[in-house]
Amino acid sequence: MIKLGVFAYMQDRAVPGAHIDTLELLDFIRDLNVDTIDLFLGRGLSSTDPG
Amino acid sequence: MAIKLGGFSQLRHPEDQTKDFEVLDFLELARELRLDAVDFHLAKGFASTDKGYLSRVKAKCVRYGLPIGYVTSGLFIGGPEEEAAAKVAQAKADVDVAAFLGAPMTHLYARGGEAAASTPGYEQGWAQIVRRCREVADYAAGKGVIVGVQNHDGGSWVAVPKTINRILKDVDRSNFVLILDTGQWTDGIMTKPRGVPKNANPNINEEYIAQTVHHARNVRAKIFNLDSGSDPYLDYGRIAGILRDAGYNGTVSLVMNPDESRLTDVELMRRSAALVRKCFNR
Repeated sequence: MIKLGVFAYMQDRAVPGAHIDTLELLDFIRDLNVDTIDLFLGRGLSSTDPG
Repeated sequence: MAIKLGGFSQLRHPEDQTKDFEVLDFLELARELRLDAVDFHLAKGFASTDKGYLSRVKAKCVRYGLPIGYVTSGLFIGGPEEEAAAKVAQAKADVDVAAFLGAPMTHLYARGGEAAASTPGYEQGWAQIVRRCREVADYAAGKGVIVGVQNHDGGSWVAVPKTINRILKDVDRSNFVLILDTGQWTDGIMTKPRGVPKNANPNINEEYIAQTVHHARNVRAKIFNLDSGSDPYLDYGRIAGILRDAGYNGTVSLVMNPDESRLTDVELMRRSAALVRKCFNR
C-alpha cells in the first residue's frame, strides 16, 4: 500500500527567510490525512537537541 | 483520519507450527498483504539481535516501504525484586534495538508478581513496577525512544481503564504511553474461559476501548479466530467506529491469538487483513 507523505517544510511568508516551526506544522499536516512525513533539519526543525 | 494497517510478527511457521515464522519471511507476507507498518517480537522469529542481522531486517523494511512501529521481547516488567535488574536491563536492550532499527517505540507488559488489588503487598508491587518503568523510560528518552505498556488480562497489573490511567499518571514520563490491545482485558469476554458469561456486560470490550483510546499510541487488533468469517469476541466494525470517533490516527496492528483457530497463523493474518481493512475502509 503506497503511503502518502509530505515534506514538512513551509516558508513563513510573513517573515522573509523564516520557516514555520515543525511542531506547528504537525497539527496542519495531521488534518491532511497523510500517512508519513519527512523533516528538513534547520528549516522548521529549529533544534536537534534531544529534548 | 488516516489509520495505518500494521501487523505483528509473532506467527508460527505455516508448515511447522512448532517453529516460529522468521521475520524476514514475515516481511514478505507484510508486503503481500500491502500492510502500512510492522511491529516486531524480538524473541519470536528473530534469528539474532546483532547489528548485521538487524541491518538486514531494516534494509528489507525500507525496501518494502514498511515503517516499524514498535519492538518487544515480550518482557514482564513486574515480579520479584531480585529479578528487577535483569528485567530493566532487558527493557533497555529492547530500547537499543529500537533505536538501531529506527523504531519509535518499545513495548512491555506490566505482568509478573501478584497483581490482585486485594493481595497484601499490592501497593509495594505497584511501586516496584512504577520505579522500573521510570528507569526504562528515562533511559529510552536519552535514545529518542518511547516506551509503551500494553493492557493484558491473566495477572497483569494493567488490565482495565482504571489501572491504565493509574500507571500512566504514576510513571509520569512523557515518553511512557499506552499500547492498546483490543482483546486483553480483565473481565473482557475473551478472557478464559472465553465467551459471554451470565450477567456480564456484552459491550465491555468496546466500552474499555472507548475509555482508553485517547491514550493509545498503537492499537493491537487482536484476532482469535475467523472460522465464521468474523471474530467471535471482537466486533471490528464497532471498534473502527470508536477509533474513528476518537480521532485516532495511528496504526491498527493485526495480532494473532490463534489457539482456537483452524487456520495456520499466516492464513489467519491474511484473512484478518481483509476483515480489518474492510472495517476501516483501508
